[in-house]
Amino acid sequence: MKKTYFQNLCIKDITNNISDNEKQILIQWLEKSEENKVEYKNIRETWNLTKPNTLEYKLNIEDEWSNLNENITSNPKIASTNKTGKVLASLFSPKFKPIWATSAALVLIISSLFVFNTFNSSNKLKIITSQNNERLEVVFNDGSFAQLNSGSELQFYEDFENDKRNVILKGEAFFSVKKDGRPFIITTDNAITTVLGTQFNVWSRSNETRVIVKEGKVSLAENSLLGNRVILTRGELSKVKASLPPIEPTKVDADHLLGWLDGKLVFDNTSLQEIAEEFERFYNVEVSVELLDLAKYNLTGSFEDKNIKDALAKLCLALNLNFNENNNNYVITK
Amino acid sequence: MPQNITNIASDKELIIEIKASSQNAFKILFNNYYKPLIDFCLYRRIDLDISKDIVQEIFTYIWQSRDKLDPDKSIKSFLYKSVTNKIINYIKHSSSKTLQLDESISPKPQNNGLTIESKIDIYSAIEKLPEKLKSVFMLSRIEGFKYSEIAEISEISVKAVEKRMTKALKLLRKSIS
Repeated sequence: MKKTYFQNLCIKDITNNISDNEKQILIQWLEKSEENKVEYKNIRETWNLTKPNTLEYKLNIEDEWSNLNENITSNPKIASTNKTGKVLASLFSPKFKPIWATSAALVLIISSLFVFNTFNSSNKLKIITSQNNERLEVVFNDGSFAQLNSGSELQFYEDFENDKRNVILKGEAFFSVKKDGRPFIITTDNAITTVLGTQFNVWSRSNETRVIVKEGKVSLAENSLLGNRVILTRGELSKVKASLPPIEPTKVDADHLLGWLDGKLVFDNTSLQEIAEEFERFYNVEVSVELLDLAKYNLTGSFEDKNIKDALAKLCLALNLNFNENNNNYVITK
Repeated sequence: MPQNITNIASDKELIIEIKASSQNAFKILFNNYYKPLIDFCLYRRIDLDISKDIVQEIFTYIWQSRDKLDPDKSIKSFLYKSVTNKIINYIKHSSSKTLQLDESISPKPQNNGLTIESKIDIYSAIEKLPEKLKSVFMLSRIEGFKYSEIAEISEISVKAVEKRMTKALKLLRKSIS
């Protein structure tokens, strides 16, 4: 048998990963020759040499715990899936509910040892929601502002923190962030976009986040423990799908793609399903697609029509489809 | 807090409690694992501030996603898997930073029969291991994880762990001798 096989056994023995069977094989092999014994000894010596020494550094676990509480209260990421501020508050409700039936005494001892930080209640959570066919301008306390596209929502605390500015976005918004030393962090369902001061667009729907940068530099990371990220600069686009790493940024015509800021609907190789959803938000109507081969239809182009019917007529002409209307319900068919 | 009290509860019990939003249980988990995880980052030559950020993020995530925790899965494996992934990711994005040793928190060479020089050589030899080997080797050497646990943490097979361990030790031996 190969030498590496026995080296492997030696290491397994040293690291307590060896089975009884393997141990027997190892012993037989060691008995075989002096050379084998030297081999084992060498491996053990290397192992012993790599023994880690104790690290000496200062760490106050209580301070670290306080920091953690601050991080949790200032980053209402998961709670953001709920529409009101209530959930955020209940996360840190001072009422404990110990259900440690088997060791109630233990809970008593421990609960007296620390107090969970509750957050500053004077700092209001703001939730700004735009309806379909409605666009809103949001001004933040730091002087930054955002234009919120139709059918979108922004959540943030009125006063940003001392070291960062957090907002949560559902839907689409164009941000003009004022540089003030603190990062401005936009959390969406599946991604985290971080900037210092710049102009850029974030679109986030159906577990996908797309960022287009108009000015400056933006960091886009997937919202998971892995946190793979890319840096986008002026005129670049990147996106995060589900929890995959962000795609490499590509150069785009940012002004054209951000046509919604000028009241246009712009599509770039966009699926018919997504176009239908954008139409719904833009014109405040219902648009459904009744096609079996829906996935086949993609479109690049822009719409400036005031009337949904004009827009749908153009869309259907381009894709060789039809549509009919029933009480503001539009159906796209073959 | 007396360490023996915090250790009475098993990780599984703690996770059940944390799922029920018990901040007590969460604090115990934090006390049990925070420093070992920071140590692990430091051994991987991540500087202290970055290490704290990494570990804080993981605990923040655990609390915020507590409803998704599975008491039947090892939280310890999850913690080390998260730390390992974050370290790899961090190194990828800042290759220059980790090469600098922070003197103040470097492992202090001890006098255990070896000269200080040879001990330092070993640390730099470990440092030079390819990332994949280093990660597996450190989990075994520092944390004493079983191969099966390392396999779970690294998302590779036990066979692959064996191979990496053998290779890592071979390389270390070569660079020491």
